[in-house]
Amino acid sequence: MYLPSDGAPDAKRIHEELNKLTLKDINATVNITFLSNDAYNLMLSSGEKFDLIFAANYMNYADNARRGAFKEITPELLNTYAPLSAKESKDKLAGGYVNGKMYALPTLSASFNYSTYVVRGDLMKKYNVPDIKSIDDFGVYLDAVAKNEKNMIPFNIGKNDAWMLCSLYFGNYNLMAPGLPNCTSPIAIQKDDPALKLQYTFDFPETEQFLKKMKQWKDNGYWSKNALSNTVGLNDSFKNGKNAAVLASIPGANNVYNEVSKSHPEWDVRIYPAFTQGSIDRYSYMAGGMALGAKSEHPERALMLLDLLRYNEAYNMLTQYGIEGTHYTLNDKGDIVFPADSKYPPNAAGTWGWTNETYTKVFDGSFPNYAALTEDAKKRYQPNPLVDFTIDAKEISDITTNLSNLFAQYAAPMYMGFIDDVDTGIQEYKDKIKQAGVDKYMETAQAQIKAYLNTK
Amino acid sequence: MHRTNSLLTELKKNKMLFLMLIPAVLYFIIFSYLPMGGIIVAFKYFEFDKGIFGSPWVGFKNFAFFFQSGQAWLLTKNTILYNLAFIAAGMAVQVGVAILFSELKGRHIKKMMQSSLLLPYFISWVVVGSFVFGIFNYEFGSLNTLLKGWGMSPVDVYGNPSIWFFIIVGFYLWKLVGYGSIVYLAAIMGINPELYESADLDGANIFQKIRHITLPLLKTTIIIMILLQVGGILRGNFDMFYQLVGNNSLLFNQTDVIDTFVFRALNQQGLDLGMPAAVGLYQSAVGFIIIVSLNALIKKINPDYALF
Repeated sequence: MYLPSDGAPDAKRIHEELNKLTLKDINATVNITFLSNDAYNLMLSSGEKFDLIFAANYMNYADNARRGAFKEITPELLNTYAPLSAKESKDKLAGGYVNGKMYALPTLSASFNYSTYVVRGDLMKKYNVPDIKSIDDFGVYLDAVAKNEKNMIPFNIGKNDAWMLCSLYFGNYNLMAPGLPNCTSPIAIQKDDPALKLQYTFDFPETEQFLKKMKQWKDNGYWSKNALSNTVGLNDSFKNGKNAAVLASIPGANNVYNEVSKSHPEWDVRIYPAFTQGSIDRYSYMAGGMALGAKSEHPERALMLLDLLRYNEAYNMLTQYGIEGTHYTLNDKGDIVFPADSKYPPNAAGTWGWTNETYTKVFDGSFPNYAALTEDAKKRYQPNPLVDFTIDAKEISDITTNLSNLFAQYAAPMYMGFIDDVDTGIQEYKDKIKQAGVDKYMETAQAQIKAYLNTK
Repeated sequence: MHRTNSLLTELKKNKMLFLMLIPAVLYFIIFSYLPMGGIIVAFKYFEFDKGIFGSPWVGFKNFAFFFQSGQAWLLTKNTILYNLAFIAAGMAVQVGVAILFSELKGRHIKKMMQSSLLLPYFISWVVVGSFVFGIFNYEFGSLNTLLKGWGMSPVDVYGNPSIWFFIIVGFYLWKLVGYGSIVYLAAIMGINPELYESADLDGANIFQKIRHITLPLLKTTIIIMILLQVGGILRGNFDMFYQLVGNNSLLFNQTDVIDTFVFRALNQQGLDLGMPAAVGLYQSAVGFIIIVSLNALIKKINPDYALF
């Protein structure tokens, strides 16, 4: 089994424990190897024989499946060897299908596209900043920091962080990009549009307003004039007190909170929801999952193991959190407590492919409104018929390649406010994507969406 | 008949020499000639389970993205101009430094200066990239802190594309001059000292000796070095550009070379072996044409200087 991860110091011990269980239950052992994200692609292309591998949409699961990287999980295989997974609700398995065939079993945890502002309560109190309830309120906070804290950059984004700003825009304006992992798409769907019609993102008047606001923010010094060359991440500069705000998912915010509330309790870190209007989207369950290798020699054992990892509490807890008493304990609230400098910290050992909500514990020491925000995400969630749709770019790969490159060259700096005149910038970007064939891209995507909805 | 005979006798006569040649020949067969078969992936839609040879053909489709990007000409131009600047400036400075060292008399000072020039060669571009940002960044960079300390207004280096040509060439020289000058220094050391002695007797001064003895005798070395570098004229110095400029798209029109463009374009996609292979083939093919024609040109002017 291959897992893309740096591993954990005690991973070997966990794997030995796991093998004791598997030997007893399915008369087989599993050999787990960690590899880096770069090695992942090379491993697939080398044609090596292996049984199980992590797969996910953000690692181009669908494209890899179309290129024959994985073995098909036929209904017979699934029913015979992974009966529990076979009985799972259609909704949770849908992400594993590519062109009508199943190549992977997606995770059993919903993750919402829900961002939060992580800010410093001490600074808010000091400069009388009101609670953050909208993008503009966030601007007020950044402004107070920019004017008063000369040694800080209020929102010290780096060279690859343009997506944070565009996701802030998409998340607040009910937009989604079909078949692309994020807001870098030049075409988008308005979520409340029942026809699911694709539109050019840069034709919306809201886009122009948002970009103008971002330019204003940049001119006000909310981030560095050299943000495009800054290689230090937001989290690191926040922890060092050089930066006053982070934009993060709920688990991401929790990690920052956990660390900073220990090292700097006086900062009074607060977390506010960042998508304050519109509905909330969920990622496909295929945000993580496990696939069979194309040349797997033991697909039946592999599927049996997957069923155990996914649905058996002992297997799931052991691989996700380690050995009880050594790597974690449960307190009376049922929250999970980790020892300091744990040798098997959560979310470190590449086990993202078989997380299961049923066995997922709330971390002790989570930020106070953790449960409230999770609840908010669930309440505002609107099912999205295209959540598991991915574009088949085989025929238009030259166009998609150039479009993503044009985003990096023209749109990303605009989202970060690096443009003299927003209107001419938008026009230039629109001209460039037109030359690159965005019309054909939109046509293809629309046709594929139609076909997808018909088969559903 | 006659030919085979002579080949056999040749083999027999220089047994030891051919034996010593074997490792090098094997090396090039394994690492340079055999992988050339992989070029065909540039014309294929790569599929994991079928491998390079089993994947379906797609003709020139993999080349399309590069030439439709609207950037192909700009990128080719940037790459060639930067490389010409590197070759020209690099050669001039390296030869100058080599001559300077050969004329220096003090042994210790010479060793020390040579080492300090060579040292940057061993610093990784990653490290250089981060200290360049430390020097030039607008808010807290050392350059601007200095300027503000002197009461001058700060400069926004990363927002000013036109000076990046000089910054990049400057750092290239800083890093590679020490190493490059070694070849020329060795060539100068190989010059027969009697030539200089007789020039001394004739009363030539140091500049006349450099002008009439050292430079003419260095000419062959210089031409060979140029020819070797021209072959790679379409290859961008990837780690240098990537570490110095990174994803700063404000500077792209001045600093983007083929390699950084391809890396950026394809890094975001899944693994597609076809498209990068196609661009690599384009670079190699153009490089090959340039070096063959340049060599032919030199051969015509003076056959002694040609590489092959």
